[in-house]
Amino acid sequence: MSPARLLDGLTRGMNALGTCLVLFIMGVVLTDVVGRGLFSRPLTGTAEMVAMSIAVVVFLQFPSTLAAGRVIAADGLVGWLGQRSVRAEQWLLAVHHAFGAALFAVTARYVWPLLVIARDSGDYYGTPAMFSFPKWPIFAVIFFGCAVMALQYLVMAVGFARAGWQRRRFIEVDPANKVVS
Amino acid sequence: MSPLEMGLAGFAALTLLIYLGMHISTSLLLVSFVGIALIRDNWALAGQMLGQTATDAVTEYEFGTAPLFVLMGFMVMAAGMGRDSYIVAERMFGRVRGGVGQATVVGNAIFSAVTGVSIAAVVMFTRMAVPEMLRRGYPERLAVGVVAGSAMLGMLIPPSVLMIIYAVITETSIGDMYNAGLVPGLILSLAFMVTIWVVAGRHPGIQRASEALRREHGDGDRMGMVKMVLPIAVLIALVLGGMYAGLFTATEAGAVGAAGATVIALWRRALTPRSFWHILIDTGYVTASIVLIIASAAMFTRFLAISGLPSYMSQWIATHQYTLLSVMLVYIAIVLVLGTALDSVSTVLIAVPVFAPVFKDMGADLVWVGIITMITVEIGIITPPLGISPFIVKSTLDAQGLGHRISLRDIYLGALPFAAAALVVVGLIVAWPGLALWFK
Repeated sequence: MSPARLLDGLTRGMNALGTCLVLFIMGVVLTDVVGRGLFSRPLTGTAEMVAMSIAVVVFLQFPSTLAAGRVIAADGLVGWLGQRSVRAEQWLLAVHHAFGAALFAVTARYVWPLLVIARDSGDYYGTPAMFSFPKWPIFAVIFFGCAVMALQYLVMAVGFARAGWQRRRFIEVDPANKVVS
Repeated sequence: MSPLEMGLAGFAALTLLIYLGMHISTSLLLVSFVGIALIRDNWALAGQMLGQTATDAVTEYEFGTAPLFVLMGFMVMAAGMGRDSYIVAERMFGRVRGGVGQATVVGNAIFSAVTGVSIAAVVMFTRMAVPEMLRRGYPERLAVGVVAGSAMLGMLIPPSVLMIIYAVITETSIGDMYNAGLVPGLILSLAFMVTIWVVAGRHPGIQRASEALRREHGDGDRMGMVKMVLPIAVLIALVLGGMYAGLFTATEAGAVGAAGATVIALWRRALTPRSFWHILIDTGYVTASIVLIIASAAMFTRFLAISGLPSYMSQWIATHQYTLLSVMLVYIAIVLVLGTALDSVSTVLIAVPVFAPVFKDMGADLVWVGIITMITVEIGIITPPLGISPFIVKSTLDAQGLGHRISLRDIYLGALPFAAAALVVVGLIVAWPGLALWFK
């Protein structure tokens, strides 16, 4: 299996895992609401579980979001350029993605020491005797997510550069998918 | 360069990079990372701040609102409640002057109360309402203007994803923003309806909703109407009612809404295992892209604080004794200009981190500032050259084979009266902050 295919499989797996966690978040909050409202028994640690899950969801989803071309950008200029020169458009995107790769690589590099500290100190979320959960597994996911994100950015930067060389587009993205508003 | 000049340079660099089409998150991270490193002359420190942002900025209970309200929006769409809200609105307002247009505004308002992402609404209302308006003799520009314009309601009427972003960067409560958005949202809807009423009055060729149309949508079938109204009413009552009554936090309202919408979609047999999975994956994408931006914005706020730019601006305004009103007018002008060429998220990310501390120092309520920001930013999304909502209308019309009749320019011109109406509403809220702080 080629490295690109391997990365693709990895991001898909991470995506599926993160997707399931969205349902988990909903379930946790609902259990808390129903438990509190009907039985006066709230679920302890709801806030912490939601906060931790959000971090895990997004860091697992980042690479696949990037691969799907769904990371948000103002693409007016890119589109304008693309109507005139596909090559220029693709190379501009290659540069953008290269910067992304560099920044996530740096981030991963500086998350690592925090991960080591969290593991050695046994730091946790929440309050003991109520609900607590160690920080290091979450930090590990964050580190892993940043590292895979850097790789994904790198693979895409190369992809855009090569596509530009051949005057074709690396990926087509529906503009309606890129907008939040 | 002094730290202050670095702050200004960073601001300019950020605007440039975003214009160049770099991912918004990458632009924010790059400028902050390089900026902090240069100000402190310490690259390791800048790297450590990146690492800290990655580990701190994302672990927040309130971010739970993002996936939950996005999931709710997708489920509401899948269950066909968007179409329902339009048909119900048409039954209510179809016979008023400019009836189909009025129904589009009201349908959008209702739909906005159950979704947080408005692009889906633009596509849907373009498909349903534009052909119907054209059939009834509406001028093209009015027909498309109504659809592009009423898309603004989506970000103002809670739930709203843009409000989540604003609330997080200003450290205001998402719940407070949601509570504040309702009354201005209703005022804006009313302003749009008056606009349509006035414009339609100048075109006597427009027909009102006819008997034929009402038969088409099953007039007289009261059970059918009840089946349409009930699920939407229940969802709005649960989500908005629960929040306004103080029963739920915003995150809890999101979970209840998402679960409720899922149950309704299942009840209507609108979900297959496959489509359900796709909705979940899409929810993940939207959540990840929003949270990525929020986390990057947190890094940018740190950079601005280190540069001292916001506190300098506060001092400068204090020594010159500028009034809150004049600062607000300058802010509105800046947001309008940024908004014409950037999408709403970028505009908020560039303008808010600099101005929010200033407004806070002047004693202004950041929730009030937030509501003004939401409407002003949304005016940007319907103005050229880069207003996104006209683009979506155009590409939907092209897909329907109506593209040859209506150009992008028509859409911008058609949306202009609605932009003007929204600006009037901004003026009202500036003059009477109580309109935004009704539920506080």
